[in-house]
Amino acid sequence: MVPGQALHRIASAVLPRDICDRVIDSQLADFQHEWLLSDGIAWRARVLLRGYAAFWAALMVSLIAIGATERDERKILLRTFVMSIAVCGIATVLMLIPVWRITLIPSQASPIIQTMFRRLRWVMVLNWLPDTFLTAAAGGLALGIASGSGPRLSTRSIRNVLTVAVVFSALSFFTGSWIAPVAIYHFRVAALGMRMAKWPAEMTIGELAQSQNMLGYHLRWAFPWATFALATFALSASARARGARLALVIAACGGYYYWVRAGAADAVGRGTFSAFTAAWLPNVVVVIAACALLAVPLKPDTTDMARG
Amino acid sequence: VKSELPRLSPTERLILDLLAGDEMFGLQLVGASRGALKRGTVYVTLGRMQEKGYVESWTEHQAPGAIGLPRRLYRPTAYGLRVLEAWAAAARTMKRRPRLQHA
Repeated sequence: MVPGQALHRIASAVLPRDICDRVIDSQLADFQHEWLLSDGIAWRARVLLRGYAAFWAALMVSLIAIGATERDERKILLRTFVMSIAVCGIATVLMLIPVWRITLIPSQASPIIQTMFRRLRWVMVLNWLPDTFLTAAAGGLALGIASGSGPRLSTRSIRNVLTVAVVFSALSFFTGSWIAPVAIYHFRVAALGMRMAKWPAEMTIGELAQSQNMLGYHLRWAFPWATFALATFALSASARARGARLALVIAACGGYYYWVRAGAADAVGRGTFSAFTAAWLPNVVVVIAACALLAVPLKPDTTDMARG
Repeated sequence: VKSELPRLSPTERLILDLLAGDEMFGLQLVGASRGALKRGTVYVTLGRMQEKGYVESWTEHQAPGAIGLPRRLYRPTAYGLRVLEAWAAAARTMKRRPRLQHA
């Protein structure tokens, strides 16, 4: 029986298959071949000793290399999500400042008016909060990927990031379409004590369709997927230089946000696009741009000559 | 100063040098390097070089009933040879650098 079969099983258990095939099996195959060629106890003993030593060295080096890669990956992913949360928080606050300012309480108003304004302010903030948060989160994850990751992201990490984006998109859809409108409306009624006609932000997705607000209705379906579309774009840009990928992602987020806030309504108003097309257009454009970005070749890996 | 040369460590250069003549097994490379390459690390380096596209490998065809795992043969890719050539040219240029003349 040739030596190395137990070693092969050990390596298969602790190393990924491709590394086991490429590194350990190559070493074991040469070891077994050398052993088969060897003749005499002394020679075989020397071959065995060298073969086993080489196996453990190759296994250790491979394990260290994998450990380093995983630590690196974890660091990159952690940085990506910390950046996402930070960007999301900052963007939410920045976008809510104008909402806060338009409900500044007049200093000489009567106490009743002041109380009303104070309540109105919170109604307005709550009215805008889900939309603002969804917008910020969509851009936040993309900017987090662009600033935190790089060409070293593995397929597994890319899959994890995309899974997070899809889950977030789905949660955004349910929150934005049903939970948030109902909550906002009930808060307004409770805070102001008035039952008026619902604002678009207070309508569920079904009520938007009933009120013939077709752009709002289709945007409720399409906008939550901005997180996924922009994350895909950021991942396809992540192999590029840091400045380039940040610029690309900021441009994509800016373009997307402009379209959703102003461009879509304008295009539907002019009759250029239907409500459905106007709502889904940015998602489609961003995903196509992500694919196009992958097709643009990168410069080869370069380094300082002095390090060679 | 950054160059446009892809990364190539001294060990990788040595392996490409040795493979430039003929395709070899890992153990043959260790023997041909006269102690410069170690049995425990040469396969890891070859795996990394394969990832970078400097070498390609395939397993030898085994006769029916053969014992043991099939051995893996390595040879440089055209890209690997170009990188090696570029590094050799860069090294020659560095050697030819004129000396400063003191007044």
